[in-house]
Amino acid sequence: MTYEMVESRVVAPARAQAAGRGFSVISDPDAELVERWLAGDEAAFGDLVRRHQRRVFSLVLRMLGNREEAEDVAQEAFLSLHRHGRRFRRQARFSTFVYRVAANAALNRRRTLGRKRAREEALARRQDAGLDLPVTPRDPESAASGSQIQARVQAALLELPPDLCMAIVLYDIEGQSYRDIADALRIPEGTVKSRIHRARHALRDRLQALVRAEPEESKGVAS
Amino acid sequence: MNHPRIRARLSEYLDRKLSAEQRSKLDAHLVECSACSAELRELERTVDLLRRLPDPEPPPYLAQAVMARLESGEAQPESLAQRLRRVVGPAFALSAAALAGLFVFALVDIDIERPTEASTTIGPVAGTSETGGESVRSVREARRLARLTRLHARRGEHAEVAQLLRGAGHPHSALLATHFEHDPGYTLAVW
Repeated sequence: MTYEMVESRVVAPARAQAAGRGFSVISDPDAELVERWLAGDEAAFGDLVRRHQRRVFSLVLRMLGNREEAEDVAQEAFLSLHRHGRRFRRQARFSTFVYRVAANAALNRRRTLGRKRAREEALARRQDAGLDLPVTPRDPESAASGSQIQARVQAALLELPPDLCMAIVLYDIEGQSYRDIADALRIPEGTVKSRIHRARHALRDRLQALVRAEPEESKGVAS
Repeated sequence: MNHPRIRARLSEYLDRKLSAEQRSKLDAHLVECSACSAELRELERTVDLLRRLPDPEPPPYLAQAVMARLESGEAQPESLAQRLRRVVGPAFALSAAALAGLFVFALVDIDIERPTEASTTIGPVAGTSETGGESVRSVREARRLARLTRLHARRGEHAEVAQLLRGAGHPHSALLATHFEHDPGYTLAVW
């Protein structure tokens, strides 16, 4: 993980927070493409898919922990987006709508799969230190030593109740603001805060060995 | 200070969501409370572990696969008829327009009451109406006719059912009347 990537995740929530506190509304960068798509231009929808596929796939993969399932659900999410495009209300950003559709798709699949299967897969990954998750680290050394930690973190995520997992993935991984998460999941901001808080504590409990270790040990890389 | 209350705010403290005053109070407590300080450090490391997860690469063919499925006809927006058919179910094989036309007359859910004398004069049911007074009369009449129709249908009095439907004066209720006349067994099974 490079410094730049870490900083973007740290900064992004603050930027989003600023927008939520009544600063100037961030214009929707997808507005033009969305208008063209809703007017019948399917190529514009293709551009929207390419533009948002990374965030959709990331969200779904973190929720399901299985690449094959995530690919399937990501496709279903975009098909659902296409099917229900006319429900998009332009008061919110299109990306919020995308997250809502993707979140629903992921939650539905997770319910279908069941937490038991998620736990079984998480256990298998812990035991094998399997690289079910694609790793594109910038530092080759961290790939070898950090993959087990990543697998444990992902496994711990899968053990969380779906609503807590979704909140913490959207906030701490996807960098969305409380307000955007509230809009995407159609819940009050207070509920978003509560879920993030509970999710962090639950994760901390599951990752005790990592979080209580010295920082250099938990990072798994040379400082 | 109340430790559970402090710990309940640690997440917001970490995210800089507290007011300056709240933050100041928490700072003062954290300086003196090793337990709460340790909890904050653990939360920080938990968040750090999450944020260090790498960005997964989507499959290179994802967009292509989505567009191919769209071109094959998947995920097209539902038409009104398709949505009605999906919601109402296969029991109603008539078109969506027929269902809408029959709604006031045939689909009103009315409790079975003691049978009333059938009127020999059954005028057309207005269906929807623009004025409030006419609408009430139409709904009342529609309910009466619905009760009668159900009563006759339960008794197997198909000719009476067909007559009531034809008397409703709507082309789609006339269509349903034809079903009763030509295939009453099927029609009653899906009523």
